Amino acid sequence: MITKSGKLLSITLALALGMTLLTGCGGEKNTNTTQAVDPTGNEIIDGKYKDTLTIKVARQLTADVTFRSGEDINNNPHKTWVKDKFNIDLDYVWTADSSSIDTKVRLMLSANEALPDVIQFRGSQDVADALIDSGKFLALNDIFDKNAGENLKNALAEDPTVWNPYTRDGQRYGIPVLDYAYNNDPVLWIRDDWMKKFSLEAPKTVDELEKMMEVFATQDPDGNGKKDTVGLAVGIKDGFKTWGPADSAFLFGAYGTIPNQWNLGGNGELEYGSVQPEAKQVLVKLRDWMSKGYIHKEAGLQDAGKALELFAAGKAGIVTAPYWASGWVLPGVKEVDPNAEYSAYPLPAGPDGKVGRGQSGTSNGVILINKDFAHPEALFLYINYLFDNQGKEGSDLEYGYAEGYDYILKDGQPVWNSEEFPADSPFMPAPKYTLTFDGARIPSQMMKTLNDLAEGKTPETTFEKKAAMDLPGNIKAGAVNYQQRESAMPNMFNGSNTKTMKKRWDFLFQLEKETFNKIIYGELPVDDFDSFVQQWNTSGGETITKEVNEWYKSVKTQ
Amino acid sequence: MRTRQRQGWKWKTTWPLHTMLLPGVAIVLIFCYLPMFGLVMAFQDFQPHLGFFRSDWIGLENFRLMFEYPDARQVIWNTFLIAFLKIIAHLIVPFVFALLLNEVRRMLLKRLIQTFVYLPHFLSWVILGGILLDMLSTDGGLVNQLVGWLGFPPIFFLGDGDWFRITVIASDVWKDFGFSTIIFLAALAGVNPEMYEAALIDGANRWRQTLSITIPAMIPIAVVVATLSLGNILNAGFDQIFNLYNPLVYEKGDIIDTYVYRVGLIGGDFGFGTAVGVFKSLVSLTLIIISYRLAYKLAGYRIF
Repeated sequence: MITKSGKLLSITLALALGMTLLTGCGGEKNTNTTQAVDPTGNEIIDGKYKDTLTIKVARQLTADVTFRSGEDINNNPHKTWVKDKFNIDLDYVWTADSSSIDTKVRLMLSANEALPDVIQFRGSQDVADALIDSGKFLALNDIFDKNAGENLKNALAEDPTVWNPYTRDGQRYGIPVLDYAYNNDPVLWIRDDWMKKFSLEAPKTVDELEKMMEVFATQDPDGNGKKDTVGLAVGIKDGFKTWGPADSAFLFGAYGTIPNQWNLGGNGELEYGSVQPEAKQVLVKLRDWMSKGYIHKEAGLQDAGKALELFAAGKAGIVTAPYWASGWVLPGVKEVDPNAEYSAYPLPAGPDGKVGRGQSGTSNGVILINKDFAHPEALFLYINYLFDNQGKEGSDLEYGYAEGYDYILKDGQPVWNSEEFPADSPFMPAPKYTLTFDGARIPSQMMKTLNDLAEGKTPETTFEKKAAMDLPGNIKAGAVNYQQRESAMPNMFNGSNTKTMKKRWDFLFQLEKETFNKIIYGELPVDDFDSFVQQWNTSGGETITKEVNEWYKSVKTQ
Repeated sequence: MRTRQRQGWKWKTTWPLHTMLLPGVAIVLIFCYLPMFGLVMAFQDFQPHLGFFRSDWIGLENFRLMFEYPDARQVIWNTFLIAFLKIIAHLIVPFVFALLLNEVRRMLLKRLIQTFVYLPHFLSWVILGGILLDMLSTDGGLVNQLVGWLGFPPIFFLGDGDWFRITVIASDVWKDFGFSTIIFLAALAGVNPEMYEAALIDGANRWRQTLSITIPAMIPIAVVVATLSLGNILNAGFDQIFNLYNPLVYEKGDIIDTYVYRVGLIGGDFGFGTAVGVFKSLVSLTLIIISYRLAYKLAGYRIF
């Protein structure tokens, strides 16, 4: 009997508890809906929203964005900070890694699903186009002019081409996510010990480079009695302009064009670098170097990484690589030859004194805002703050994004070196928790700072102190990179493939690689370059050039 | 009446087994049959943001282009040639190897060799691509050192079109012949030992035994393997080619799968890429039907 009533009691209690919980939830829901119905009532007071503003976000989230155990993208110090600071609730409704975000967005669009307020997108240009062309995202020209802060505006103005992929008829449909500029631009790395051995000086021109290559290839610089070294390591399997290492586009640059990309011609039109007459002169050079063994016999089979290994294995004396290469890959050479020394030098100039290099992209993503989102200014409130305060003295973002995550304080002094973090709470990439992927990146800041540091400036700001932690070889190379920044030529075409490109580009690019390689290997006469250009034009290249220029005119806002 | 009862009884006892089939059937339906709907792309000027329903229909335009582009024609020919030679090589090498292995009397040695040749099957082409690039290098690669010993000039295995095809076929056979050998060895295990005893009594030596007993015992299974692989005549091996080819050998080494990958996925021309894929599937389907009929006729082998 007692047990029975006890049971009854507990059931009643449980029911009552459940009811209160239910009503509790319902109450919360109600307040939420009233907010959504009446969005205009919400306003910013002292840099903070009066009522909590929820922004539904979908973002690309890769494995490098790591979290402390128990935390995730919807539960981390940055999210809490945004809530406290602006009363904005960043609600990540879904995330996808880099391999699945394209598919996910495509499915979402074709199923006509409701879109989140903001898409933090890093994926293929095709999909970004599909999103913008769906007409469901906000045109930003006026909103941007009105709401963006000076620092954000200046950062974006450093490379106006970052807007192009997201521009339609002069209207901008997304905020480009910025990255450090010139990050993967090539500088020339030369074996200093080999230079010393033959009393050579760093080459200032392509001719001097050629002389150095001759010495390195023929006079046995590694002293093993075998003819097993080459002058310059280049990987041309995937084209001449690589993503950074073992690039040979700088040779074309010395003659005034960059292959495998669209350059801005003298008449203000875009032209494809590989079919310009300048390219022929470089092919003649490379053909000569191949026959003399100055470049590796298997350069045509090697991609950028494989060719870079030649330098790391002590088999090549010169290679181009990004400024950061002295930290990775290049040090391998010391294992082969403990006396190996190498450092970065400027790219050589061509016969007319020209220097040119391919420029790496300044933008690597975009933030798209839903047309139906009532508070686009909220994003600018947040992004402006990052650009105005990151690393600024006295700001809450002076040392980083979250203490104990991307920096710790030791005796009141900030420490960024992850090895000095306590073992139970290791370094976490808090800037990657932001809506802008990597916090506030000002494109020119990195190389400029490295240049300042190389010139002997004492690091003062957070950014400078962090940059000064880099290897001395990298800092010197960064300075070399910065000093030649004027010679960087960007790929002016950064839209998605044009109609004819989709049909014919593969054929044209294969034809280009095949012809160029065969010319270099001596299997085709040099004059086949001219018939190649002709075939390129008649097989669709001419139409593509027209389409690319139409695109270029359509995105130019000025 | 009786049979029906029996069938009903059978069903009663076998239904759990049939239920176990369901997940497999569901997976096949969802992942193999449902996506086939995407084939409509081949007849469309497909735009991802418009989807299947709103993209423009263009009929057989994509197929027409396929036979018009000289590069597409070359690619189809390359695929056919490489795949055909692979099929032949994959038949002869394991056949001969199984015969030889069958003559090995020491069980341990036999097993050891069998495992050893079987191993490369588990390596991926991404890794093998890197290894082969070094092994076949003209600049101190293992194979070319051997060629040098024999007194020949170094061979540019991966940079010369004709040598590239040979390299592709040889390396593919090297990687997978251990696997196919197993099938032939299984056939040999099924030969009645009494036949050999009888042959011995009749005075046949090893060679005679091989010719008259072993090889005839293997012929049916060889016919089955050969006819079934006909369906693969347009599969020249994407992984392998993709990891080995380079601009110097595009002309002779590019195949349908790598072509579709570049045009369809990299270039973004989904419609054309699908059309080439559909063409490939149709040819394969025809050949599978023919080979199935042939296998039944020549070797009495039926799958269904």
